[in-house]
Amino acid sequence: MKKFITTVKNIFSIEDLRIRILNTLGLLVVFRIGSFIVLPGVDPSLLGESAGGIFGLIDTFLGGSFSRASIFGLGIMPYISASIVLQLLTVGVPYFQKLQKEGESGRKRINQITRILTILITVAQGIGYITATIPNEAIVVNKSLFMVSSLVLLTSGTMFCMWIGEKITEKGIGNGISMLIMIGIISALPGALIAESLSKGSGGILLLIIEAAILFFVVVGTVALTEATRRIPVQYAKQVVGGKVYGGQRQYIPIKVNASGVMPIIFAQSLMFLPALIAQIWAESSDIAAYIGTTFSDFTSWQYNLVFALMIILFTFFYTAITVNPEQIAEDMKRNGGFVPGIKPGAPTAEFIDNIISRITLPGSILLALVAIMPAFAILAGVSGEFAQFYGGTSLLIMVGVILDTLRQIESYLLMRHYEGMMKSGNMKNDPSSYAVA
Amino acid sequence: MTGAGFPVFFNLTNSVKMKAYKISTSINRYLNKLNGDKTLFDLCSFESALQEIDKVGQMLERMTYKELKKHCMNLKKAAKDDNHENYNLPDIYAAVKEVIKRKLKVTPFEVQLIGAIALHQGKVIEMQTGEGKTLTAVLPAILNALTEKGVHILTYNDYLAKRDANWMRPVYEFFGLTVGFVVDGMKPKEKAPAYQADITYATAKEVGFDYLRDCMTYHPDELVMREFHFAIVDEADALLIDEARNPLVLAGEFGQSTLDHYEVAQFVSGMMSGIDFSLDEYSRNVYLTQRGIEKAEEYYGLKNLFEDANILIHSAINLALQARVLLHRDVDYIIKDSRILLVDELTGRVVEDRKWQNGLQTAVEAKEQLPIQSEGNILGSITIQHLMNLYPKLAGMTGTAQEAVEEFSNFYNLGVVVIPPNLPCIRRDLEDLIFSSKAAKLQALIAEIKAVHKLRRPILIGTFTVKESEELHLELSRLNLQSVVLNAKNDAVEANLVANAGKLDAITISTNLAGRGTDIMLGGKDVDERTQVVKLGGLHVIGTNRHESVRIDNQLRGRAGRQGDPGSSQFIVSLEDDLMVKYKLQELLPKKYRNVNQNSALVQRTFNSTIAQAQRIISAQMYEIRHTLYNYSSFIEIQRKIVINHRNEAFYNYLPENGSHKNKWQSVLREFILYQYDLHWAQHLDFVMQLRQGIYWERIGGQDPLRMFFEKTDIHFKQIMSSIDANLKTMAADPQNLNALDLKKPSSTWTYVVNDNPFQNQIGIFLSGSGNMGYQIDFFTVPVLFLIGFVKRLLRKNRLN
Repeated sequence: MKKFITTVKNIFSIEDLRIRILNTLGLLVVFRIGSFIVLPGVDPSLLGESAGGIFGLIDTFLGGSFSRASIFGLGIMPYISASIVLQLLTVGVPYFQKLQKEGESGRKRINQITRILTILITVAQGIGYITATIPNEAIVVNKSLFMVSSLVLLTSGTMFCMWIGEKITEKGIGNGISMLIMIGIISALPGALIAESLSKGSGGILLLIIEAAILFFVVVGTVALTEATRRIPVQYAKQVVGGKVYGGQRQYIPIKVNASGVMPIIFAQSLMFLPALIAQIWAESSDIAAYIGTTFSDFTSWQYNLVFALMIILFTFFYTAITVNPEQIAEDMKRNGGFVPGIKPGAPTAEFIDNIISRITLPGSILLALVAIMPAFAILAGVSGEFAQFYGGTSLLIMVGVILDTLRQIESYLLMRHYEGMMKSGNMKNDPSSYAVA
Repeated sequence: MTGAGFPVFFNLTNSVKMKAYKISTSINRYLNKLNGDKTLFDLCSFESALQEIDKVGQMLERMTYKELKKHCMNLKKAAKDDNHENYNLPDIYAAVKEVIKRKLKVTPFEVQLIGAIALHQGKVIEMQTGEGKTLTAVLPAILNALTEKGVHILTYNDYLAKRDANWMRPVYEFFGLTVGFVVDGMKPKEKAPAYQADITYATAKEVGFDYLRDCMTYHPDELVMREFHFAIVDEADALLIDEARNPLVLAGEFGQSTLDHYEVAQFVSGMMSGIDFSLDEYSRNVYLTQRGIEKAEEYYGLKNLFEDANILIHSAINLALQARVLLHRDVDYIIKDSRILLVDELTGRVVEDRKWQNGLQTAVEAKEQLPIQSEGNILGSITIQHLMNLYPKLAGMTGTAQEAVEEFSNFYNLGVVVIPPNLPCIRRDLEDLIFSSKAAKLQALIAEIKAVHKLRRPILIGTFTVKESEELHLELSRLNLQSVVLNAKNDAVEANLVANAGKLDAITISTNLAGRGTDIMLGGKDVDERTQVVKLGGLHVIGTNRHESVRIDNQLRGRAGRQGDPGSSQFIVSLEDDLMVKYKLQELLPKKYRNVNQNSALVQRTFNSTIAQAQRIISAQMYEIRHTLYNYSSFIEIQRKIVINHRNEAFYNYLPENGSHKNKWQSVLREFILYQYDLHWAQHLDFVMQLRQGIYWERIGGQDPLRMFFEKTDIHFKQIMSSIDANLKTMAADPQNLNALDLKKPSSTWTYVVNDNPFQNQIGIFLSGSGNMGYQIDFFTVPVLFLIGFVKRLLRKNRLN
């Protein structure tokens, strides 16, 4: 604890770091304020309840501005989509490949294209957003006028969010885009906490403490899952000094137990509303369909969670195949004169790495599925729905990921400053004068 | 560079030209501002200073020799008392100008004065070839040397250091300033006075090596340098950018290897390409195939080459293979006096004092059956970037600065000022002739040479490698065309060859050697012949290859058309050139042009623009490499400075006084302390080098490699510091141990290239990289990603089975 306080003191005693943190906080406040400003022409009291399913998930990421018909209604989602499209293009299309290799000028051009694409996506998503989520009775002005003005506002809102994100990356702490997503999720925490404590009443303090303790262990488990790494040793056979191999310092390829992050959960979640949706079509004519419809609408039912967990496990395997490519690793090692001790380069190495990945991905995917269904258990145990989402799932994983990353960034910042200080003051731990002979 | 000791023909200082220039630059300036250009075109601000220099100059003109001398001495005294360089720029520049006029019999142009002012302001100036950069540097050198803190003029090569120092000596000495030069091979005894001089001419590499050596000396008497003050870098882009990739490394002998490298070389020479090893021309890599591995295991009686225990022989085989396949005699190196001498790929010059990194040098020596010189470990290292940043004030000059504005500003915080030529350049740069094959190119090249030679115009042909220059020479002599070759093998006669390269009928074939720092005078020293050559159209430059950077191409072109002379340049290239093959240019071309095969030049514009694009891509990659090197080395540089601070404390604090027994003992103790720092620092550098090799894997784990590098070096650095601490304590507790000391000192130096291969799975990096969760929660493209993943997985399984 004492160490924690000194670290905080350190952080704020460094002017540059202090300014960066204040910048970040300031920009996040602006972002939050914006997400409460409702589109002109909408009567907020007539807006529906926040939706479930895929829209509910989006709403979580956008900190409620999605269901609130705010000018940040689409948030930075279109920008993320555009970035990913461009990224895919630089992998697949020669023109973009070349552009990316051209350095500074190429990167500027790619950024520009990303922005233009963001606008296009915003307009497309905006039309869908307005028609799908804002009920007609909530619109109090001329419909077509509302459509045009809202599209303009949503687009500028998205561009503004993008700008905030870029500024945070540039002049603040952490990755701006991740920060915006995280702040959206975290913004629901205070309300949920208050609601939870009120609902338990005066006698529920003990219950609340137990809940907090369990939450603590869930967070610890999630941190462990995020950080867990299997290290594969690498040796390089290209530098030998004077007939002696130096140091014995090993290099490792760190393979994450959870290499796929939150992707499998998100994908599974966005597919899980399909069974209920499809079953509804035949619900009246078929008992089985009706049964499916009701069980899969209830996301605390064991059937729902079983399918959900299995899907996550499945998707984790698929997704790991995208992010970690053993053949590529083996090939790259070969080119650089590296090898796994005792294993021949090329196909045997690829197979070796592939085996390791397969072996760690199974427990990783099971743990990930467990984290994903934790909120359902929490609800069954009596925790309110709003608060339960912090017991696991995408919310917790994203929060843990972003916070860990930001902390690391601050840490290396402190480290750098520490060294610069040492260099300037010249003060040192080893003072030769202490060995002077009188 | 300027013509050495040669009268300058034109000195038209007219204000009309200046006015016209002002208008055009103000438009330029506006346009460049729009584009966010950092180039400084604002020459108008120099005008008042110029007028003042002119005014003072008129007064000085009337002074007698004695009066002028007295005036100069007064200026010096005033500046020294004031201890400030800005003391009086116009007065001092006017005085220097007058002294140059009287001593060297040349009058500095207005544009040279502008350049001199910009240099004093710490800028990089762009000045065309032959506009007199050497002379320009004299003014700020004197101005900044008056306080006697020392000024370094960093020249492009040793020859120029010596030539320029001696050429400008009379001017400096008139001001009572001393001047010295440092070249490779000098003894410390000769170097010390040169560095103590007010103005020192040396190459940056020499300065860097001497700095590193100074950091490892054991007695103040062994120091050759003093504190850094101000440096003017000639050919700034070549040094600060192109060569910044090579960190300067100081290495010491470590004893002989136990392996028989000749035997390894013998074994490797029996291997066959494609069967025992495969070759990757693009990234210049070679590796054993399955059969090659088995062959090696059989030959050396090993069970598995990739066991830890076999790392020595494994490394030796890899290195021998690289030496055999990737490094070519007379391209990458030459052999002289039974020694391997490296040829710099950018300058085409033989570089003394440079070796390949550990082991590779030995492998090449074994390949060529030469005596194995030495192996060593690194004792100290610094990058050019950090070396230059040691100077509180820095300025530079070059003919091609504009293309590198960003980099000057990012790494060195240097602005760029473009100095207009004294006379407009009227050289005609002809459009590239591009051929589909090397054979067609050679034919066109010969035809071009013949045609121009018939007119008796002098020709300079710039080739890529030593080998190419010699082959072309042979080909020409077969056709009874007299030509001379200037390459790394005969650079001793360089001055002589260059002096004649502008004469009638001259055909000079040169490697990149002549690309910089050479000044080809039309007609040689003969004035009549000069008029004749001018009438014919001046020097014709033919480039047989495009280089990795446009700047280098432009430098070659710049050999023609100096100081308003006529001249022309022409590049004749083929799609089979090394550059095109190495960077897979074919892949950049649109599909329908990929397999063209014709004997006449390709006229489609696509080819020109594709070559330009290839150069941009290469430049960007080079920048990336330098940037990576800079980022990684910055942290180590801080640690180095901390260690040096500690070492210096011991270095200066425990100097023994003469005589007594106690003092002798103290000097042993002092050496022990210094040795502890050197030893541990060398170990740290070694750790860092090994760490760097595989640090980029961190990306797979979603970490920023640079950040992990910081963390890991930090841990090791703390370890060595506490280890030093512990050793010193043990020694202080039991001084008897001192007698067992065995101190090794560095004996030779070399530099090596750091190559950072970026990891290639871009989607993977992007999505898992740097904890950016934002990219993980998109719905739009999720299905696409899964599809890709699914297909990839299927494909891989098929291939593995």
